Amino acid sequence: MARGAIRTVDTLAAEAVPGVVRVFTPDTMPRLPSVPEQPDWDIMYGSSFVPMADRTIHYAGQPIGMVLAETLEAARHAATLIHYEFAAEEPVVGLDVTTDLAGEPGHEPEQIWLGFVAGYLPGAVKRGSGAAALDHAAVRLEGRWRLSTNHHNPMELVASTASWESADRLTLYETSQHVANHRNGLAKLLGLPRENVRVVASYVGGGFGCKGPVWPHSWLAALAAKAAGRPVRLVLSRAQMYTAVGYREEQWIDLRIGATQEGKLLGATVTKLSATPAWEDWVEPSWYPFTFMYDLPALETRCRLLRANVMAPTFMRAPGEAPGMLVQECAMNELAAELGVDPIELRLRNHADVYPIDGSQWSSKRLKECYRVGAERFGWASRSPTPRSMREGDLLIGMGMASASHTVYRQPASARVTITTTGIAHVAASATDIGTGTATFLRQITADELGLPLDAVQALIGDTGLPEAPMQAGASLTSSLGSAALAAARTLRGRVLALATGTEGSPLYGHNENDLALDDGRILAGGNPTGQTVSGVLRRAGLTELSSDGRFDPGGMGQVRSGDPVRDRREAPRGMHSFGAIFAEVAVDPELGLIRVRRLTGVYACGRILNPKLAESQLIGGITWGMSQALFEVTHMDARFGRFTNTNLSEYMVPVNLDVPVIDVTFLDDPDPYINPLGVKGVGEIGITGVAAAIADAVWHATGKRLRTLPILPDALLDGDEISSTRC
Amino acid sequence: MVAPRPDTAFAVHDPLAAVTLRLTVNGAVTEVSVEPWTTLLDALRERIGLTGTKKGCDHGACGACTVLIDGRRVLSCLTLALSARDGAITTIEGLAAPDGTLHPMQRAFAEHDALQCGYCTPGQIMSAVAVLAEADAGRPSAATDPAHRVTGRAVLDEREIRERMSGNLCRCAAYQNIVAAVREVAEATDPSRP
Repeated sequence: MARGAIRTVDTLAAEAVPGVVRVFTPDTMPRLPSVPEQPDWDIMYGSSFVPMADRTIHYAGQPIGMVLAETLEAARHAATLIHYEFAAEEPVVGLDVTTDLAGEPGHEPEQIWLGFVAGYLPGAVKRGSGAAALDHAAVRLEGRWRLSTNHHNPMELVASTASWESADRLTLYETSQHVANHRNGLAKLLGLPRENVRVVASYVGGGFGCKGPVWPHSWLAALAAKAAGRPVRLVLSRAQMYTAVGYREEQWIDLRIGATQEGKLLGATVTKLSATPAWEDWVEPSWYPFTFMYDLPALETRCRLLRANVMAPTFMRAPGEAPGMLVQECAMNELAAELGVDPIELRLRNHADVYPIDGSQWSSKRLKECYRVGAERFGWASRSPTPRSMREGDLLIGMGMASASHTVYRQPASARVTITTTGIAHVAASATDIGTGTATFLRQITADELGLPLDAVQALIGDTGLPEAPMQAGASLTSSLGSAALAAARTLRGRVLALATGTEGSPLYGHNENDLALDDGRILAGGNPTGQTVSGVLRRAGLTELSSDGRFDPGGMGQVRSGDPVRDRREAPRGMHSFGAIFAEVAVDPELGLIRVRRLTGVYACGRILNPKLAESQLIGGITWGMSQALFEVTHMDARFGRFTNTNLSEYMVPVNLDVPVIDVTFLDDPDPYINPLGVKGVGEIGITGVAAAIADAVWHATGKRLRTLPILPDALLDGDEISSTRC
Repeated sequence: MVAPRPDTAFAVHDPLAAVTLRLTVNGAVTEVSVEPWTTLLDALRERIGLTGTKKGCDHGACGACTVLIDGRRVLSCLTLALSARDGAITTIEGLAAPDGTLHPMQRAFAEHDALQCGYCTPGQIMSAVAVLAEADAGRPSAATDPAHRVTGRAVLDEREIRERMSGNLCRCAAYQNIVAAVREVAEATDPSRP
């Protein structure tokens, strides 16, 4: 049931099950001393909704009961025995309603809140003459793109283990992308000083956005553990994860875009429609890519939100960019076909030489080279422009391409580096590792700076007791935390050398530090061994170890402009983006409508690549997500019941091994002196962008069908309901 | 294979009546107390403390819980612990040598970066080990050309490996590196190669 109220609840049978410790319902669940409030510049909540606090039902899947038991089996069985009676009402879900839960045709928020990584964005953007610019367009394209609900579905289930060490000290083992956020959130909600909450999450089995914010399961586990007087482990089932930790909302994006006969963009209007819960606004800024990607002199964007019986959506890999680049790049490809211009050529004619948001310079941009190298590697020249013109036996072959881009986010970060007389160094930060190689890059940076072999450096991560690292989000951890680790290691190196040269009686006393180097624990002077070691320097100073802290503060990277640190990070004095180009080849079986992606070639300029192996893996993964967005992923909603119907990994389709072709990833050298001391832009998010547009264009090229409902499934190719580009 | 004897000791009908059974896991016999409907996955993780085997869906859809019973891969979330009592169970913890030397498949996964978050990895590796055994037994897959008569090890080209590994989801999508890892071990251990 997605809307209504609990009338009666009976827990007797559940409580009688052997092994059951406690049964909680909205009537008996302990209350939070303090509730989530948004916006909060320090804590990111998934939602401000507090379940198990009253009897009202707002969405299907809302928690209404919780059983603690000695065994999983007893808890599960007892949960089925709690008896509820409900007063049900008709739910309001879906985007094709005339009035929403508030009895309105929707509302248009003035600004949207994206948590402390991205802060506020305006709900509507107007640039230049806005929609009026379209009046002069020789060529106009108009269409609605329908994008499905998507769920993160990391392989690891979401889980919290809460253990009260005393009446006011909590340890939480959490599947978290940001332990400091969970510490701050739990401390606030439970009314504890932050130092009394410890959150641990060293390695996390994938997140993709859903494990960043604080969601109700964490505080429910903590409240239950306190009430029971013993540690509680709460593991969400796969099905529960579809309504407990957010999702990418279903969205309809209406686009009008116009160009001159020569293919120069004149203007665009973008209107997004999506649903949000009764109690708060959430919308990912899918229009955002239109603001930065091309030289687009006029733009007008709006977003309309429908209040519905749904839990809050949230960040999912490349929020804003993933759907926005999809629509924008599809439109570019449709325009190119209208104009009879090669898709790469159309993009070159509209290349943004300066950062379109404020006319400033880019920190670095090698998009044109991405097109060129990508086209060469892929063999773009072999594409015959006419749709349905390439065949292989019975199969229709299609090729498509798109641009890729992601905003560079930068977050404050701290790290500590310690070197000991055993010759081992430690690098410590609270960051977790969700599969991106946090421990590896920290060790690499430290080893490089201290002249140590990688094996001599250990990483301590994933614990709020360590120096505070930012959220693993927005492809910003490596760049931000890596810069902090670099600062720490650099300071430590300087202190070791200062000890060596500044201590009377030291064999290196009086040496110029600039002539010295560290190499495998030894100190070299002018490149030659001195017989002195780092350990020896520490021992002579009476130390067993020496530590330095390092910090990365993006506020210090450029001029402060708005006084709002988050905005300043986003709106730095230069446009800061990673860029790429993605090419796809598909084969379509015209009788079955089956689409096979046969090749994917991506070329990227993402600043400095610290670890090519890990970076390539991130891109392969991200590109596969884009392919999945194009052809696989949809969470179906049964509007009668307001309930998702395929909340499992058998019916929520994601690519398996055989679905994915060989993905060819190339990184261009992309030095960027502006973004951070490491020159790293981040690679976690850009991979997904553009891919679905390249595949949709390849499907058009193969079949002649323009499909604007994603994912593209075989039935869309089989039925006669063909959507062609509209020339008006 | 010896047919299991009818075993009246386990003819229980109370779903909550715990029963004691012996499981052979990684060569060691362990006595555990489980409910009749306890899955092998939950018995391994919750009762025996072997948490290397992962729960991704509890539904038989993702492969994260793959273990070997008598050398064959099974989904431990769809296997009752009771029904595994006669088999030799191998989990990811039992793959490395007693001195800690990694199994060749573990080493190849690490070398090829055939993982990102690592959560599906135990299941992927157990599957991959079983794939080689299946190929050695000449078992065809859906990717095998039916016209080709398999004698000895089935050919493990890229398509064969992808097909045979498609029961193990990897949301991070490390698939092509998984293929490279399996392929390397398959080639190094191919009995038909000199």
